[in-house]
Amino acid sequence: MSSLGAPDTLDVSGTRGIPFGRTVAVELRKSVDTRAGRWLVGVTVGVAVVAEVIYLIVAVSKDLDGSYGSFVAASAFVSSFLLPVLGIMLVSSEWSQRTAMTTFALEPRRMRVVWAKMIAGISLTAFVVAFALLVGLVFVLLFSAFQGQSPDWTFGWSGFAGFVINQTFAMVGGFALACLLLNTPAAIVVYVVYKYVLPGLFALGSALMVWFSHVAPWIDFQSASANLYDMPLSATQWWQLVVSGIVWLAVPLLIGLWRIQRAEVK
Amino acid sequence: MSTAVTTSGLDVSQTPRTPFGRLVSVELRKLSDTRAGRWLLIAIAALTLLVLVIQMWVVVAQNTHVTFNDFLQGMNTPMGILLPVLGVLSVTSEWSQRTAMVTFTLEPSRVRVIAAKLVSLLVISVLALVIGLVLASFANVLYGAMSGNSVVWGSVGKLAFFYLLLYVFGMATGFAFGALFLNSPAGIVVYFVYSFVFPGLFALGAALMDWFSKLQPWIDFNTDQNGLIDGTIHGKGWAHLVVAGLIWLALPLAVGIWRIRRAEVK
Repeated sequence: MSSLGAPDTLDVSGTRGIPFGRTVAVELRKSVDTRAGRWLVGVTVGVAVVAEVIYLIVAVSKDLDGSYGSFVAASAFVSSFLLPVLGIMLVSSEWSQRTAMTTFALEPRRMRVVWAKMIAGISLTAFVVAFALLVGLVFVLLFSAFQGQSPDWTFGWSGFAGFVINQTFAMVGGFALACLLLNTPAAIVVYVVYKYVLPGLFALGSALMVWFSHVAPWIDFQSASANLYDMPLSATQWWQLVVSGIVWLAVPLLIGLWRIQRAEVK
Repeated sequence: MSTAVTTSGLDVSQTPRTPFGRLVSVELRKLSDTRAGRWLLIAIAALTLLVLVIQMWVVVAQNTHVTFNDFLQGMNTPMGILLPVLGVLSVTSEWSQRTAMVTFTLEPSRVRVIAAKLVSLLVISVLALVIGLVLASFANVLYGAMSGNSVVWGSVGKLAFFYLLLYVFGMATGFAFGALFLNSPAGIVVYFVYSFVFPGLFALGAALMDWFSKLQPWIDFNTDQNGLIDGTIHGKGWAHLVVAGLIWLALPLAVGIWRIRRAEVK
């Protein structure tokens, strides 16, 4: 009797959980082997090269600054817009493509999935950053060849750190908004408003009201993190970065994680 | 024998096609009775109200002299950003929510569906204009009462026409990008790149290169629309608007409609 009853249940008590490394590898694959993900990474890389070419042509014809830093900045301009979208799609596509059911059935510990996604996003950011640095290198050499001068490697530790940190913040910012909203269009719209509309409003508010000009540096995460390009930061600037970072990164992310933990999987 | 054969088919040759008015009303309903659409409309209304309240508070506190047009401009910020998103989603949601199969089965003439969608967007534009004018008028009168300054109206009729054009252009451009990509994130991202990133690039190019500064007004649809926003457009400005509109509105719309007519419905 008992031997007949046993096959009804599956004893998984001895089965080990999915190793975190595998979850990360899966999330990384998910971000590039779908049409949307592959195109997004492809477009980011492609448009970065186009931006470099345009900058090279303009810089050569106008005899502009052809330093390594300015070439990397040209591709950063592009990737700072598209990396957040990548961060958003990492999270929200689980809901829009209805893969969340499979994902969370195979790994019911949702937070591990979210952290794996975060690591996948940071890996892709690192890839884009490395690509931008490499392409910048090629274009500095091209620039110096066209201009007949020795390449200008001005970039500096501060510029490099500022570049890496800002790109990562951009990706994580998108990621946090996507966790909060769990909806691709909504997250993209809110991110764009945050990135392009809010700085103007902050500037306008500061110009009109003195009290607001004192508050603005503490809540304007973008200008606070842009300061990282000109290190070293003063103690006040560090605190402004921390406070505005809590407002724009930590709070949406925490609420978002709480939401994912409880969200109905459809 | 022959009667048995004829009864197996359904004779719809006498059935009138779906009237266009019904298609339009269905498309209008689709814009507002889904969660995404309804929230987008609520967000637009709420943000517009919020902007007006903040603007009122600031101008009264600072005793700034403002006109009816200033309130219209303030209101245009949220509407100008979010209405085009509604335009994008009105097309792409058919694909992302997989309703295209039902839509095009009930009305196989896809061009009629597209036309109905465009008319429904036009209706929303008019609605947005009416709401906007009422709110801005109310704000202007309230401003006069609260600040004690004289109320400046300007040519309301002309401004109303300009803002209607703005909303129609914004929605139609969003619709065009949506039709071009048939994918919500791609349509929204490209729309925002076009409306937030390109004007900066165009201005930069114009500042650097003389020949480009002559070309810029003819290809920069966003910057051309500023003449509508502040009501100063005249003469050559209209020509710029038409040419740039052909590039950014008519061309993507034409390609997009061609694509929808041939797209596989999944």
